[in-house]
Formats: sequence, structure tokens, C-alpha cells
Amino acid sequence: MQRRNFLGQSAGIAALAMLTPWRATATTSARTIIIGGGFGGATCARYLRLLDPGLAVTLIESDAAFVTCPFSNLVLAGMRTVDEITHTYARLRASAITVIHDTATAIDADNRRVALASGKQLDYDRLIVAPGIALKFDAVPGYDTAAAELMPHAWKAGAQTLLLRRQLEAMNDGGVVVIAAPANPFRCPPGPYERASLIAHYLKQHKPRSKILILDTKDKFSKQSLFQQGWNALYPGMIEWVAGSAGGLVERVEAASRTLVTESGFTEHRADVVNFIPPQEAGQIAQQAELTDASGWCPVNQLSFESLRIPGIHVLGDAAIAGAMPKSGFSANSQAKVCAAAIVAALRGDPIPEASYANTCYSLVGPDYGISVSAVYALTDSAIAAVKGAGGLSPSDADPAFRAREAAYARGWYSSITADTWG
Amino acid sequence: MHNLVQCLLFIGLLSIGTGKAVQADDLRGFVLASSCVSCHGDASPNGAGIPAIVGRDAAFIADALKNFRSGARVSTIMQRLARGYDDAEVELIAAWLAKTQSTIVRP
Repeated sequence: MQRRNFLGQSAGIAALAMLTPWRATATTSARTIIIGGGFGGATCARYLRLLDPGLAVTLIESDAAFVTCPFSNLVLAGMRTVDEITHTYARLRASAITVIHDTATAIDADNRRVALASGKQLDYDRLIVAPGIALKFDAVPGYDTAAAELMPHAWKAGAQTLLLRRQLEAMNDGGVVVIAAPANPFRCPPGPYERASLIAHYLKQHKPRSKILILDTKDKFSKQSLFQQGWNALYPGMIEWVAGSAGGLVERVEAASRTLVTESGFTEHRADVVNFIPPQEAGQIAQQAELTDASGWCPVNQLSFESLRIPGIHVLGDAAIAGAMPKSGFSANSQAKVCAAAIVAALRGDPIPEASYANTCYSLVGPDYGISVSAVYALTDSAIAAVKGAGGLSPSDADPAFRAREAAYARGWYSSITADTWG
Repeated sequence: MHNLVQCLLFIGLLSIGTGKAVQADDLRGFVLASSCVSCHGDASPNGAGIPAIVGRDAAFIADALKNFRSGARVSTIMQRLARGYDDAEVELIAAWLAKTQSTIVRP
């Protein structure tokens, strides 16, 4: 523990030395602008304001309200409505945060200015970019934006979630649902497998002769043994998972006939409903502003989340490369607090506080069957790493009461983190 | 260590939700404890069995974390998380949570 503290502090000092100089005008009345009102951006806006009420905080978000990817799988299963996973910006506004519904189209880093689709220009002292993911429609032949209307990705919640829900409702009993899962890294590593679980929950009640086939790009996945144990317990024989090296890798799709082609064309999977989750990269404005590297994601200082490519701009959440942290709403929320503290400290000329980050991902295998993976993270040398001996998976030998408690806690987590993010 | 916690409370260091800026010495406590709020929520119980911890007595929080960490107190997830913090960090978390108020502003 002593050693970790020492490393944390020395990393903190190193990171402080690397921070770009603040503008002379950057006092506690500095102008901070956040692009993107999801888990990372909205949390950062809220906590900048709470940590220093003198700061001018402006949040730019295209949509009037945010529909969360967490719990969108419950919408697919008919367990929640979209309204119940939609969050407005009213409470952020009530906290004296300026919320502008517009789209950032360009960043002029030299003059510290953001251009908006409306033609408006906004000056900043510090800019936080939290754009989430962009879907790579060009990556798998046949899967373009038109194909997404036939084979929904539903990996950005809202209209796509409802489209997939309608397709599941329209499917006949005995139908086949294919979920195609991408390679790492991608948003919400356990998400495709929770989705398979909750679609199975719906089908078991309404269309019990149906099957779910998961065609995976990967050879293993998050919480794999816990998911497979739960599938055997709740939905025996209903869900089949195919590893990438065993023929799961989808090489091409034909959207009109809902066909997925694998194994160099030797196998064609024709499905009744296809949920195709394409590979991903940092959100569009991060690409456009050249905050990304060759990986398609944004390299950042792991203490302040300041871009390693463009000074004065911080990148948070799914778009950022954050060591061992997964791309999750919880990670984005955690990073946003560390980033807000770093910005407030640096604006005052104070040392950046030693970082601590956390992530807990609950997944529902069924309405009363929850599993989790968690970690506490610290900064070691230059990367965010899980604190050894902490975190980990739900036990494999837990009894039904334990799984039910974790399912209840998943609902409690959703309630708490959405309030922590949007007020 | 509890004396230190009480001392910090006595001299009235400011936390969030007061309308005042958080000072440099408190930012580490904020960074550590803000992870707890993501699940435990702001102030009131969230109805799913995750207890409220904001504004609770510092000694209560510190003891709970240490008992989760040792396994003396049975839990689903807290013993996994509590093992991520050493004694000094536990005291900072407890001190921060004890002096924090609700931060939600309703329109």
C-alpha cells in the first residue's frame, strides 16, 4: 500500500509537470465547455460546478434528452419503457450549468474556440470532449446505415432499441435471433451477453421454441462463466455462443435477407431477427478534431484526462484510452470526477490530487438473477491499473438469494448513477 | 485515526453541496469517496437495498469498510471493493462522506 501511494504521488507530480500552462485568465471564473451530455460529460459538468461554483460551465449536447445504453436491454425484454431510461437536462440547468442543444462541428484549439452547427462560436479556457462512440459502418461489408434499419445495432439507445424490440415482438415462435458481437475494445463488454440473456427471458415467456445464436468475433467474453452458468439455469438449450475461432466471426452481411456470412463463405446464417453490433471508434467530433490516434481512440494523460495530442482539451469516457478501465457508463462517471478535480486544482495552481477510479458492471441474466464484475483502479507509473487483491467477479457458487440481491442492486445502481450524472 | 476525522469535522472543512468551493486538501477525499456515490446515491436510500451513506457518521463508515475488507461483515460486492483501499484511504472516504450533503438541485 505504501508503495502504491508513493507511486501515485510521483505519477501525480509527473503528470502535473506535463500539464500544459493554463491561460493567465484561467482563474476560478474560467470558462469550461463540455461536448457531450452522456455519463462522462454530464457528470463532469455537474462536479466542476459543485467543486468550484465560480466556474462557468457550458454543456453542449445534440439531443434534448439522453437515453442510456445501460438498462436498454431491459427495454428489449419489455421490463422497462424507453421513458424510464431517458434523462433530461433540467436538473443540470437548475444547478446553473448552461446547457445548449446544438452540435459541435469543429474545434479551433489554437484560439480555444468551439464551432457549433447553428453557426455560433464559443470560447473556452478548458474543453472537455465526451462524445462516446461512433459505429464503424464501413468495417464489415454489407453493414451500412441502411442495413442498420433492417439489422439494428441498438448500441446507441433510443430509436434503434425500439426498432429491435418491435422486430422481436413481430417474430414468430420458433424463430432464430442472431446477435453478432464485435472485437475488443468496444462499449460495454458484458452488454451483448446481458442482451442475449434478457431477450431469452422475453422469448421463454412468449415464444419458447425460439433460439438465440451469438456469433462472436472473440474467443472469450466478460463474465463468461457466470453468464453461461446462468443460461444453463434459466434458459437451458436456448442460447448458443460461437467463438470467433470456431466460426463466429462474421465476414459479410446481406441485410435484405437477414443473412450473416462466416468461415470464408462456407456458412450462411439466415435469421429472423439480427442484432448486429459493429466495431466502434471514438465519437465523430474526436475524430474530426484529430484527438484520436491510429487505434481510433483518444490517448490521454491518465491523471487529468488531458489529450496527449492537443493541449487544453480533455477526453473522457468511451472515447478515451484509460488503461485497464472498460468502456462503461460507470467508468465514464468515475473518470469525469477525477478529471473535474484535476481541472479545478490546476486552475488554482494547486497540485492535482492522486487519482482513484472505480467500475462496477452489473448484468441481469434474468429479472431476479444478477451478476457483477468490479474493480478499484489507481495510477501506477503511467497507466490506470486495477488495485491488486480487490474487485473481481460474483462468486460462481452463489445461491439464488445472492443472485437476487445482485439483481436488486443492479436496479439500485441504475437509480443512483443516473441521479449522480444528470442530477 | 478517528480523532483525526473528528478534528477535521470540528474545524469545519467544506464539502460539496454547500455552495462553496472545495479546497485543495479535500480534493483527494472527494476523488476517493465520489466512487461510492455512483451506487449508493446522493443522500436518501434508493429503494433497492443499497443503503444511503452520504452524511453518515465517519466512524460508522470507516468501521463498515474495514469489516467488509476483512470479511467480518458478509456482503455481495462490498468486500471486493473495500479491499481496494488502505487504512488512510478509508479514513479519507469516511471523513468526506460524513461532511457531504445532498448535491441534487431540483428545478
